Amino acid sequence: MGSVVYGNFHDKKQPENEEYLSLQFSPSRLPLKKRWENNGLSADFISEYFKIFYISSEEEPEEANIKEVVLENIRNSVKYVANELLENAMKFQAPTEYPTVAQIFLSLYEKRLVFYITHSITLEQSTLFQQFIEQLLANDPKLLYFEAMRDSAREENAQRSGIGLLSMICDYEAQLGWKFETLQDSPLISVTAMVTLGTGV
Amino acid sequence: MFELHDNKYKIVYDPATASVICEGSLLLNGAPAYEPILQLLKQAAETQEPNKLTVNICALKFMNSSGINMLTKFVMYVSDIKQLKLTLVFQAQQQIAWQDKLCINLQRLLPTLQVHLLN
Repeated sequence: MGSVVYGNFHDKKQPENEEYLSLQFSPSRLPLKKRWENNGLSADFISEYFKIFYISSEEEPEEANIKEVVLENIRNSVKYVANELLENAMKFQAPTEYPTVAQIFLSLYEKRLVFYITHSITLEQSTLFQQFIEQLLANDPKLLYFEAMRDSAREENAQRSGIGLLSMICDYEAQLGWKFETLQDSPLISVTAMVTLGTGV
Repeated sequence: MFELHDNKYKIVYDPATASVICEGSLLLNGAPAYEPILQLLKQAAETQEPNKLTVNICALKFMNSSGINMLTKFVMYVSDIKQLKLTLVFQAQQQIAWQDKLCINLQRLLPTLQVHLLN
């Protein structure tokens, strides 16, 4: 396969003058149940970090007071996206015989932020995920979101309802892209999701 | 009173006031972990039929997509699967963008859903 790219994806540039935050996990080292709580904690940390960065980048600090509600909504968006990406990386991971790492990387700009999250999945998981992405890109996401919600009650065992990704697009106006790459010396596929979130202010 | 909680969230169904109050952060792992909350909501709706049930999410600080999924299942259960004759009201905070959007999305599934946005 080499590599395949979908949607709004650009390779990560190591920012020289930009601020970034990077967290790396070994999803297979702890049972999912124990790891799960860390998702919320990491997402909280990332969103608080962004909030402070965002406030300090404001030229008129007094305006920050008026924007408390706006800030809280931005912080929540960052937390939601970070948490969903981490949950997906934990849920859709390769079996433990191939120890892998998941990395979340956040580039901070004044008016937008870019998440990259990389983890490894099996060829089968990769095929299913690529089919889902192709469907997502070929259709109106708002319609897919409505259908996913409408059908949720009858599809008890659907592991990938897509509601998480669709809500990022429809409710948070996030732009999504993916890169799938074959790995050397491993049958696994590395998948990197790129999510661009405007701060809307 | 029926209550579900852990150290991060609390869900209380009070039959006397016909309300379910949700507080805290819901970050549970997938549909199976949300099943008890879904069952509590279904039970509340069935008990209150044909009157009114209010679900108050004003004090809910955060919810992951599995939580959204659980609420959409609940709304579809009321509107489509059981077709309960009940007035369903969601109370949320107007200033919290995600609560507002969630209510709009639920209303698309159930147009008779009443949304009360509080300041």
